[in-house]
Amino acid sequence: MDETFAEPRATARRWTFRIPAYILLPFYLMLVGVALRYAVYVRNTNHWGFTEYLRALCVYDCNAYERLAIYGYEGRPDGFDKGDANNWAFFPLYSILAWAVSRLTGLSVLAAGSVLTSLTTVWAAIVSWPLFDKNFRAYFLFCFFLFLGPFSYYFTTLYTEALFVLLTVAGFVLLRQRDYVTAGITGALMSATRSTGLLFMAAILLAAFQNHLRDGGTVGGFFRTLWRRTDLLLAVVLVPVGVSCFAVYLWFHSGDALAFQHIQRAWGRAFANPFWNLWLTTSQQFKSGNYSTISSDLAFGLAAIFGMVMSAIMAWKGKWDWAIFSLFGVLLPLSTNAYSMLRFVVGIAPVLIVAAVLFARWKWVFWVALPTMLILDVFLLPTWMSRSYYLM
Amino acid sequence: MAPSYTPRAWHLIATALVAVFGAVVFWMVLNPRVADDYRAYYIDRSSSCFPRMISFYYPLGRPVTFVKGRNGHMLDSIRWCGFMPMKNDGIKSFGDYGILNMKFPVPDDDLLLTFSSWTNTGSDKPARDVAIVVNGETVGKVTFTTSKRVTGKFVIPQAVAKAGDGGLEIRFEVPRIGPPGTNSEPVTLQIRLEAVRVVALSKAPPPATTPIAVPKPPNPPPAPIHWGKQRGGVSPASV
Repeated sequence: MDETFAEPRATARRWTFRIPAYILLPFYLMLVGVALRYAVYVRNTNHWGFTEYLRALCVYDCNAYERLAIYGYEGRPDGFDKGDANNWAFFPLYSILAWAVSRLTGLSVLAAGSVLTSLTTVWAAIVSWPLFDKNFRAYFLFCFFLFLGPFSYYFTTLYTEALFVLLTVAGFVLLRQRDYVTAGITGALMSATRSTGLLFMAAILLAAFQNHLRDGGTVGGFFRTLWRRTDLLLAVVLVPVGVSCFAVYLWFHSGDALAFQHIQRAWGRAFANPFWNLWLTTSQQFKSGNYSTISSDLAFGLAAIFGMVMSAIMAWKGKWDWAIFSLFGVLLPLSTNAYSMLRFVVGIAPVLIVAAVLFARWKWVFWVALPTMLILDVFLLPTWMSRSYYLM
Repeated sequence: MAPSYTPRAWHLIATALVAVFGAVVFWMVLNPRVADDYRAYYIDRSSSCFPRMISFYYPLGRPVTFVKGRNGHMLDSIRWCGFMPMKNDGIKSFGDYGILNMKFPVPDDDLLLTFSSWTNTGSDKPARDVAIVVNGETVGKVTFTTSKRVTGKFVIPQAVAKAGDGGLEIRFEVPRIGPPGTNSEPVTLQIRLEAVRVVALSKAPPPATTPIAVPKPPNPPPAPIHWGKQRGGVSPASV
């Protein structure tokens, strides 16, 4: 009798313990992160309302994504002081998902979007595990950065970073598995989330080339057999489908298929030499004699440099698909302006993964990085909630 | 052993469908169906501002103040293009020009345009000219040599006033004072308008046209009068 009952209990226990640590870790860190930030909010404001906490985290573009999910795309531009802005610059996929979760759960868009972002980040972390080649220390650092790092609010509130990171890691895992068509579909979702999703076309081609060499092929053989690669052809043409759907919508809505790009004038963005922009943003404060602090311009420049250095390391390590995707993921926004480079670099998954692998290489760096990130998370959160342009 | 690949028909069919869709999108990209003002500002970038949707309402002869909190604030119906919203120091231009656009029955008379303005220049900088263009005709210029307030007074000939589309389009053309920044927008002088008034010349004191304006003398102490919205008054600084 006892054995009859004991057996299922033991089986259940074993099954419970079999949930891999790489799945449990992001869940735990996500919960700890939410609790920590909420505690910081309560400590700073003396308010206990959880909705107010979510509202406090939702600053800058978060409001735009929320309004987009509630009201859809706006009509004639009239926003900002110059009267030339509206929400056409914001790509639709994230807000569509936030709206859908809100409708399904009955939660407000703010709450639904916050849950969506948090769970998407957990999902992104889990999906990224194969990209760490069983380096759990690096994986831990990566997860810690997402949920308890200095930019954790991007992965908590209504921003596209979490979704884009999820799609990026999923895409690269699929490329590693040589499932190019599904990777192309993932790329289509990426290009419906952010314009830099288009860069995944180049990543697909480079990954196919590298996989061909790994499978025993030659450089010449790759190009000779290219005409047979109908899977590659389909994968590459699938990537722009996301942004194309958005363009079709905008053509009917505003009359301009490229309205998402043209409206960027309201944000002072125009294409120029990215390296010149980098020079301007990094040298600006020194020209005015400021050698003692780090201005927001310099912070943006340093973020861009960090992204480019990480891209160079990827190339050095032979991950050319990651490197090109990341490098142009930095250069594309940098070519229009240096604003928000912190956020753009934080949203490039390969940069985060390579940085985590790099910093986890030395144990002492790993152990220093954890409390440093935690302290920055705690201290930067009030700055973020007070709408700091610095962190945007 | 070199890997081998097998072409699949469904890949090609799906690719063809996506290509057709792409061709449609490409056609849409090449053929925007937008208004001229949108095309000029966002696509060609030939315009430095995007017009607001306004009523153009202006009762001829009424002074309008652009300073927040003063009586004329309710009349924000003529700030059309190239001027930012009202603040405590007036409306500030951006880009190569700022335009006020007002509709009213144009009388058979010359008009007198008066405005109070200042700029972001200083006495340590070169003199800056701002051209005043009404209905496409230049009626004069104001020269700013310091950051002090300058009052402009210009007679608008009847023929120029009648040339418009039932009113006046008053354009303040400011000079470029620096090379474009990272946003490719030119750095221009910023004119700040505090108040404006257009009145039939016969109903105004005979003006002296001031092609080169001089700084206005200091204001007298404010009279103990409360100008209410009901009276549609004007702040003493703008007369």
